[in-house]
Amino acid sequence: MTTVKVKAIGELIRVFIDGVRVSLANGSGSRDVRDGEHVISWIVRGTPGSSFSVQITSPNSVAFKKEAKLDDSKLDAGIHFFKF
Amino acid sequence: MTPSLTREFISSSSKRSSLSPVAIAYVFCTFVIASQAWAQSQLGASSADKSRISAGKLHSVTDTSLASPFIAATPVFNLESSSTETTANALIGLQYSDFNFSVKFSGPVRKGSPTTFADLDGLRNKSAVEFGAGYLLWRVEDPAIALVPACERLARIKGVTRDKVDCSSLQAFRAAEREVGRPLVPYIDPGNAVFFTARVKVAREDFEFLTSDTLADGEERHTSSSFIAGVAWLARTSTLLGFNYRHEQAFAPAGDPTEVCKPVGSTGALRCDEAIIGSPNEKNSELVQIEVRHFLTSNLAISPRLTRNVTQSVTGFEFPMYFLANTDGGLTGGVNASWRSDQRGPSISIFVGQVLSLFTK
Repeated sequence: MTTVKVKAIGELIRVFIDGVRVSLANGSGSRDVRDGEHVISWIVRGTPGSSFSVQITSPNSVAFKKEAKLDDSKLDAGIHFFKF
Repeated sequence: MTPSLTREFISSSSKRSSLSPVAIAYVFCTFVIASQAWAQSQLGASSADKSRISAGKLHSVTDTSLASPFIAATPVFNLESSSTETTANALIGLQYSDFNFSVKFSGPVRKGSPTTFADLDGLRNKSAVEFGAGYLLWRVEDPAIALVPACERLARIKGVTRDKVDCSSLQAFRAAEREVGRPLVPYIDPGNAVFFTARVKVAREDFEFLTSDTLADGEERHTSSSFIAGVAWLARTSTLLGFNYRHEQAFAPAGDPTEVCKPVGSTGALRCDEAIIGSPNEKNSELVQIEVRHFLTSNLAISPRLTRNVTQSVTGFEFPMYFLANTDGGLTGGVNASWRSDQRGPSISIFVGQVLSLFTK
C-alpha cells in the first residue's frame, strides 16, 4: 500500500481518488492505494476568476499539480491518471 | 494574512479597475439619488439631521463580506471605515472535512460620532470577539464517472493513450470538443451546496457618563453579546441565497455627548466638558436577514441584504454592487446603496474591502 498525499485549495472543492472522496483538513488529505493505475478527480465551484489548485504532494514519483482559475461558468472538474 | 487598507486602496484600485457600462449606469443613478437626498436634507434639516447627511455622500468604506455570517475559515485582516469611524477586523480559522471553525476579533481604531449602518448590527462599534462554527452539506458525484470515459474517447480519437491527453479541466475538454467536432463530456452536475453556521459574538465595554439626576461621574462596565444562526444555499445556477437569525443584547450610550458646565470650587468660574448624561441603555433585539449573492459577469456582482429588527421594528436594506477589481481580478469594491426605515433618505457609499466570494468553506 502507498499513501498518496493530496493538497487542494479552492472555494468549494471535492477531491476523489479511485471514486473515494479524500477528506481534507485545511486543504490536505491522504489515501492509501495499492500498486497499479489510479485516477484522481476533482470538482470545484466558486467565484469567477478565483484560483484553485489540486496537487499530489507525495510520493514524488507521481507528483502532479493543477492550477487554474474558474471561468464564468463558476464550475470546473478534471481527472489525472497516475500509477506506481 | 491579507491586509486591505482603505483610503489608499480606493485611489490605487480605481486606477486599476475596469468599469462595465452597467456599472457606470449604476454609479450615475446612485449619484443622482444621493444628490437628491442631500438636497432634500439641506432644505429642511435640523442640525441633528445634518450629521446623518454626511452618510449620504460618496465617502466611506464598508466591507460587506466580513459582515456576513457566511465567512471563510481563512486568515483575513481588514479595516472597515466610515466618515467618522474605522474598525479593524481579524479572522483566523481552520477547516476539517465539512466543518470549519473561526475566531474573529474586531475593534474600533478611530472613534467619532456613532455611525449607523443598514445591517442593524448593534455590536458593530465595539471591541468584540466572535466564535463561529460551520458545516457544509454538498452532495456531488465523482466527476471521474463522466470524465474517464470522455478522456478515453478523446484518446481513441487522437490515437494516443489516455494519459497523453489533457483531461484536467472542463475547458480542456471543451477545446478538444471544438477540435474533434463532437461532444465528449456529458453534463456535470455541480449539485446543491448548503452551508450551516452558528456564531457567538461578545463585546465588553466601559461606559463613562454623568448621572442624570446629580450630574455625578458614573462608570459602568457591560457585556454585549449576539448569537447568529444561519443557512446558505448555493443553487446549481451559482446564486447564493442566505438566511440568518440574530439575537442581540447590546448596551449603548444614553445619547450623544453634550457640553456640561460645572462650577470650579467657590471661585464662581465654570468648567465645561463634553459628557454623556445618563447611564447606558440595554437593547435586546431579534433580527432576521436575507442575503443574495450573484455574479452577473466575472466583473459585476451584487450582494443585496435585507435586515429586519423585529423587536424595534426597524428595517435595513443594503445593495452593494461590486465592479472594482484588484490586480488578480477579484471584485473588492463598488457602490453600496443602503436604507434604514428609521432614517431619512437612502445612503450611498463607495466601499473597498476583501474579495467577494460566492461561497466560502
